Amino acid sequence: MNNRAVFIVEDDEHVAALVRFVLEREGFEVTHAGDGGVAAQHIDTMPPPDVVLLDVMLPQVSGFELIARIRAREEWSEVPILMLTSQSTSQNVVRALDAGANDYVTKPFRPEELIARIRRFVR
Amino acid sequence: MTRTATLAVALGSQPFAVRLAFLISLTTAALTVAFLALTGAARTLTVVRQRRRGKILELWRPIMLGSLSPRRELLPAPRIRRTHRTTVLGMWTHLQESLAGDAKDRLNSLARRARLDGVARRMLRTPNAADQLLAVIALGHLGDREKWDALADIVRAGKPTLSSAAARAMVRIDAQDGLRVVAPMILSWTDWHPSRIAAILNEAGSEAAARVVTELIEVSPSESLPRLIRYLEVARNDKVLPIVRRVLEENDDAEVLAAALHVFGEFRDRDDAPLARRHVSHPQWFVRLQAVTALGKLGGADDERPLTDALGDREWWVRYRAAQALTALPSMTSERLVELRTSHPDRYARDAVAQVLAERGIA
Amino acid sequence: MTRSLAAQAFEWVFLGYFVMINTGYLLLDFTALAGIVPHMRERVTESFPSAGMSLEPPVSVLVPAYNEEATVEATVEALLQLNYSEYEVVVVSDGSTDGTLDALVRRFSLRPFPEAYRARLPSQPIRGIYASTIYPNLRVIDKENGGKADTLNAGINAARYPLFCSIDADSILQRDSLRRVARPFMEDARTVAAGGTVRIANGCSVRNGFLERVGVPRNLLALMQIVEYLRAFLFGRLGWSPLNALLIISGAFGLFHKETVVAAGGYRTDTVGEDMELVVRLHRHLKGRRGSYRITFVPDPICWTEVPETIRTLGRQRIRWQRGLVESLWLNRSLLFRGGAVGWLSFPFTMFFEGFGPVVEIAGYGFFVGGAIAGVLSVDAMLIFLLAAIGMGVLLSVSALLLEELSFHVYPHPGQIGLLFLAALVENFGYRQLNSVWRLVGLTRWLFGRKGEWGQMTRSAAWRRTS
Repeated sequence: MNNRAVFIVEDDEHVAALVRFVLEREGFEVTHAGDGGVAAQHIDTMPPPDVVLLDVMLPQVSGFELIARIRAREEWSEVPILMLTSQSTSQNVVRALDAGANDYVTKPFRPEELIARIRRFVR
Repeated sequence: MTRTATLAVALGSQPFAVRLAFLISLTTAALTVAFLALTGAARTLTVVRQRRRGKILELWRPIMLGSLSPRRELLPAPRIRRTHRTTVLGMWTHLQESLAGDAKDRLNSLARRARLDGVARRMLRTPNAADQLLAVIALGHLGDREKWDALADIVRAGKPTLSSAAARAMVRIDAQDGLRVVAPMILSWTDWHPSRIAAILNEAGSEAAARVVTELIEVSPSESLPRLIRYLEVARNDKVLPIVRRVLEENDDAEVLAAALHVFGEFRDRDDAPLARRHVSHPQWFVRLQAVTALGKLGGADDERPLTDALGDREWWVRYRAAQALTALPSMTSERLVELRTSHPDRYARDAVAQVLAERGIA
Repeated sequence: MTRSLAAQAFEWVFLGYFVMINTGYLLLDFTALAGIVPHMRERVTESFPSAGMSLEPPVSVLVPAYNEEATVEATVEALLQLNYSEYEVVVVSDGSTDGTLDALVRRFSLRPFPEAYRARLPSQPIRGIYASTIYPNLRVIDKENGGKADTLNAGINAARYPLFCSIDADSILQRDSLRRVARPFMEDARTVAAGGTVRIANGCSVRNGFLERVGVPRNLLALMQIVEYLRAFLFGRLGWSPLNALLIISGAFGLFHKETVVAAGGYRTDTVGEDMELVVRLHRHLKGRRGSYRITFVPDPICWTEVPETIRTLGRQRIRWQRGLVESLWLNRSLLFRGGAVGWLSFPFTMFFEGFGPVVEIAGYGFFVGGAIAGVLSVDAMLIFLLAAIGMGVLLSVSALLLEELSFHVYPHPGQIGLLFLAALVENFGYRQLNSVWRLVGLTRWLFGRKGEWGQMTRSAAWRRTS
């Protein structure tokens, strides 16, 4: 079985554990960064995953800034990015897609939907 | 003589004020040491609490997350000690708030199995406001009707965060009955931010919300009408429009009119365009503002004239919105707008058009 | 030794004063605690995903800038990345003579913008308005030099949203700062102004204009200011908030209801303490009208700033602050005893203990020390009085640290707390007394100052931060 790798950036401990659980149950290999600083370092130094799952509202670094960082690094520039937003206000979503994200999931989310959206990108 | 005795003698010979000052010095010194000790104790307590919390979460996380899997064997749930209840219920509620669909039902099954529902019910009566808030939110997710009356009391108490959370919880448990409890409060919560009310109405769904607000409109005094009409907007339901139109027939208050025009603009039903047209020159500026904005959304080629006239309004905001409305009209072209920017006789009108054009990046 | 009646009276007066002021502050501190504890508990549910469902009121963030070419880009970059649903950033350059405007034009791709500017509040003429082509919510206004208050008024004129946020160009924020300071407006529709606590950035690591990690400075002066800010500016002011009697919202970070401020007349350009003066005037203006209002204080640490580390700069700052304080009170003196907790409690308290206090304090120290030298007072007596005065001061400083530990514990490392306790001790042997001297100078300057001189004073001086 091929292990597809997902990189999550989420500061909420409960949501992070939840997403990790849901993804690992489906056979994904999960790496998690709990804040923007750690995430930035990871992006700069580690090999790219198959998918990135990113929370828009992070306390230290803005989610949009991280997207820019990801797209700037060559090895990571093609990696699909899914944004986790807590409101489905059109402003946030459009901004995310403009910034370079590929798709978004709004909280509260259905685990099955999250998996389906991720699967779309790792075919 | 000993040092202390010397001191005592020296002190005794001093006037009262000095002795008092000495007493004060001693007291403050003692209090200072006490506060230092308290600070140390507080710090230690925080560390201990953090560690304990970590252990509780470690224990319960696999159980709670495990319950989300439909096929897996369910882990046994330990007894919840009173000191743990905030942390455990907190995690459970947090998960409920983050998830949608079947996962919520599974979490509810877990809650019943682990007797977490009983914990939430008992926590409802705690004097600790934050715990009470947590319990209220949890009960909403649980769909538990047992504490219905207690929740209603909290709603009626009128405290911003707690009462609105209780209102949402009640509406979540049973939209119809919940709204019936909440509805009278909607009228009296005049200083609540409209988005709070909107959140509660949204929870109930647009049909129920529209019905309740309509009933309220029947019984409420005219001062409340503008607000209620705005709440109707939240219920994104076309059935709302005839209600608003009927209100306008019976009530020509400026505030009500402005609120109604806003709703018509949002719903974009062309039938309301004549009304908007009629009020573009209303004596009250905020009515003109709404009329002009609505006309931009509902109007057609015939409305270029009144909107162009509105560009010369006394009020800056009316001019600005009129310019925006013009750009929104399907019949308007960029060239004609640019021409307007130079040809309009009124200087302020030209300014308004210029600003809007620059914002749209047209010129 | 005979003691004259006068000497005895003085003893009682000064002792009484020191007891009153310290007890007053102690009471304020613990009133503050009563407000903080429930606030802290509510934070638990703040982190719920659905907590953000309430729409946040849109805000215009006003950034007055004068000759800030070195730092303005970083500041604005940071402001554009706040976690907030809808807001705009309006930078107002007060006739900057350096490259401030050029830096902004280059970095943010600004183009002249034909904005229909509405001068509701009087201000110096506008030279130009620019909008950014990359950031749709950024605008820059360039105007003739007129001082900070004048610049803020111009910003208010240009602001589009119902709330405006006044900040200093060197305020360091956190991503959720705007969200936190807007909460009172979401909780209570009567709110017209909310202030944020200012914390000290010396020793902290700042990245991209945001606070990255909290640290404690090495400089003794800065350390003592940390204790002082906690004692006097955090807990000392927070206590007034539940009583709706808050008189000061720092210019470093405050959120206001625009229409109310415009109706009250905007900022005054003829005072050096324009931020405090506005808040006091808001109380005066709103007490006259019907309907209740709220001016609150947000206790969370959301704004950070660098404080002076040399005695000279600090002295100048404190002299100016005292002058601003007394001016603000004087200009709104009709508020005294005019009803409510403001009129009966915070205004007289501030006037007596903060405004006039330095006179009593210096006179007190002078009396005790001078009296001992002159033989009117025995040396023992002098020592005991000084011990009492200083002891009360230490108690107050220590209680501020205790309150900090019970609420936000911004400094998690025990070593940091230890250092702060030492500073709390040392603070009372010289620093507080020096402060009283500065404040006395400030008071004197106000009393005998040439009021007209303010108009001629260099506008750059008007830019150093007040309160």
